[in-house]
Amino acid sequence: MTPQKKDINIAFLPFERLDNMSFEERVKYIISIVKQNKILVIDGGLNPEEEGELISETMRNIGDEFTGIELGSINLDESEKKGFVEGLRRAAFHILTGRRRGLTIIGPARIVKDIKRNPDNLNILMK
Amino acid sequence: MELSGLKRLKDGIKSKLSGLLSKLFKKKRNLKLGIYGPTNAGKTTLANRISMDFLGEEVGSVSSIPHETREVTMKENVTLKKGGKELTINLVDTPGIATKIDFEEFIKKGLDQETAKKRAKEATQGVIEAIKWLDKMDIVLAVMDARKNPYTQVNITILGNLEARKIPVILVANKIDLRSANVQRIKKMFPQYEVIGISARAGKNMDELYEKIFEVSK
Repeated sequence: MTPQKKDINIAFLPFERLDNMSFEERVKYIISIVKQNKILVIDGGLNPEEEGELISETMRNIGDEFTGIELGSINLDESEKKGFVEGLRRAAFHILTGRRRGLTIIGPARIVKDIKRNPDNLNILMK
Repeated sequence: MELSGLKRLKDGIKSKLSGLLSKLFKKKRNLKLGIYGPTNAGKTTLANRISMDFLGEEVGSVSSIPHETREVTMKENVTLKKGGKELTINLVDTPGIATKIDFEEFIKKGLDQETAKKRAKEATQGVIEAIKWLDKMDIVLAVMDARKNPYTQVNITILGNLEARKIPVILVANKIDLRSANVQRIKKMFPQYEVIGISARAGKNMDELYEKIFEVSK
């Protein structure tokens, strides 16, 4: 049986694009892209507070058309905390380069069935 | 000048004394024990079990349809008693955290469209409220359905937010009375946390959980 052909729109976003935004702006920007039925891939991990705010902002936007998101984020800066010195090193890296280590995938729940997390990678299951 | 200086001194002493007295006689507030987790993990069943065990009354209703709890519910002054120890808490049951809510899923469960849309709207508010309440918690029971894969983004986000706020957490692997429950999988996935396997519905292993709550509350 031939699989049904579907257009999938994937937007790749460098984390630097978000780095100059405030916490709220960042989350609103992410949701605005996902609401266009795009799967967003960001080359950086979100921190837990951003994930929490992203869920809250998703809830504020839910209606008949937009039913929410599937989210998967690997934040190596958070998961590999190794004490004070390592924390300082990571903070310095972030300040100097503006980069976060990790990966985030966010997709509209109407298109993406699930984003499964294995500790080291993310798998997207489409509907 | 002298008079105003004297007044300032008098006011200063008065304020210091009042602060000291209020600190001395201030009633120690109860710890807020929050119950968090994804939908249908058994949070309200657990809140009901704790409340029934020590207060003899339930906190809320339970249902197989997701998002039955759509408001944060607090049962105040629940005194846990165990082996001569006592701990009075405010027990806070929270709506399930989710990243998606589709009213059509409620229609599939048998609700009419109007009720389904209303439930979806209330559920979104419930999730926002649950996240806001995180800041008020002193201890959290993070409840997971022991039959399901625990390594989900919702669980990771809940635990990450608790860690960021330095709120002590006990992982509760619920539904161990059911055949496919796997507590070891949760322990393996989250080795840095205390994991207690229970069945809130059957009241299984609750003593171990109460013991852990006493230990963490110290």
